[in-house]
Amino acid sequence: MPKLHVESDACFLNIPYDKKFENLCLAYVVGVTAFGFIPRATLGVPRHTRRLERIFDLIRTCNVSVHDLSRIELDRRPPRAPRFNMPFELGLAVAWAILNPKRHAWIACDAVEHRPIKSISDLNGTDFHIHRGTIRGIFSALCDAFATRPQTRTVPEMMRVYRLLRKAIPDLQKDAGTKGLFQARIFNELTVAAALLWEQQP
Amino acid sequence: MAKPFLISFRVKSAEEVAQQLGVSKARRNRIFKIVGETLKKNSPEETLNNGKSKIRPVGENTYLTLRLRQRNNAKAAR
Repeated sequence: MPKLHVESDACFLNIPYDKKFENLCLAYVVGVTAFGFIPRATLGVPRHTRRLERIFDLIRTCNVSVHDLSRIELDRRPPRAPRFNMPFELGLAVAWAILNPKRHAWIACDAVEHRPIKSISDLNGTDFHIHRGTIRGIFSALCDAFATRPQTRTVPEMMRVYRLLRKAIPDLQKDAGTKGLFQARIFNELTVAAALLWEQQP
Repeated sequence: MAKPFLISFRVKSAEEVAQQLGVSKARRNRIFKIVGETLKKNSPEETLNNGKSKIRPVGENTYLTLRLRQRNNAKAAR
């Protein structure tokens, strides 16, 4: 396996890419940048390699990963099947962290308390961060998860940056010619905008 | 889960973040402009002046003061 350069401030975001999750995705971008990390998602990876390889390489290059398991639900379209992408990627990250404890750490979040342990009992003893499907909940969960970071930001500060970033989105979307957030270009631009908004905060 | 290595880090500037993500200089300038305009539009002074802020200037009518005035007027009429 070729050795990849680990970006010390890169954070792999394992989140669902759907319209309903856009606000929470934005909250993750704001929350992660608040602690000095650069969010990375499979959206921003070149498409010439296989998807699984891209995901695993991304996990290997990030020294922390955040996994949101709140959307492991049955698809509405037949045949109805649960979305296993997020737990699968969590499994990859856990394996990578076990093999390289000094190079990778992972954080898992869910919306409902006790649910993750019920569905993945192998992770018993792990502290899942519960966000209750709210933006404020995600900020609170990230504050808890990154409590050891010297960068301290408060939830009201994060809410303020979140609201400002939301207001900047239509212009960014207009430039990118898209209505969604789950495209490589707009995702990277949102990250830059969030970093800039944090810079401007007192 | 032990995360001691997460402590050592340096927060990168937006410029550095853009470089790391491969955002072109032209796009960077455009993003900076958009964010600048958003901040300007949402500064406390600006929102107070165009009346879009929730922080209302003293004396401006709110629902409650309006109700109070209506009640006082009704009392006076009686």
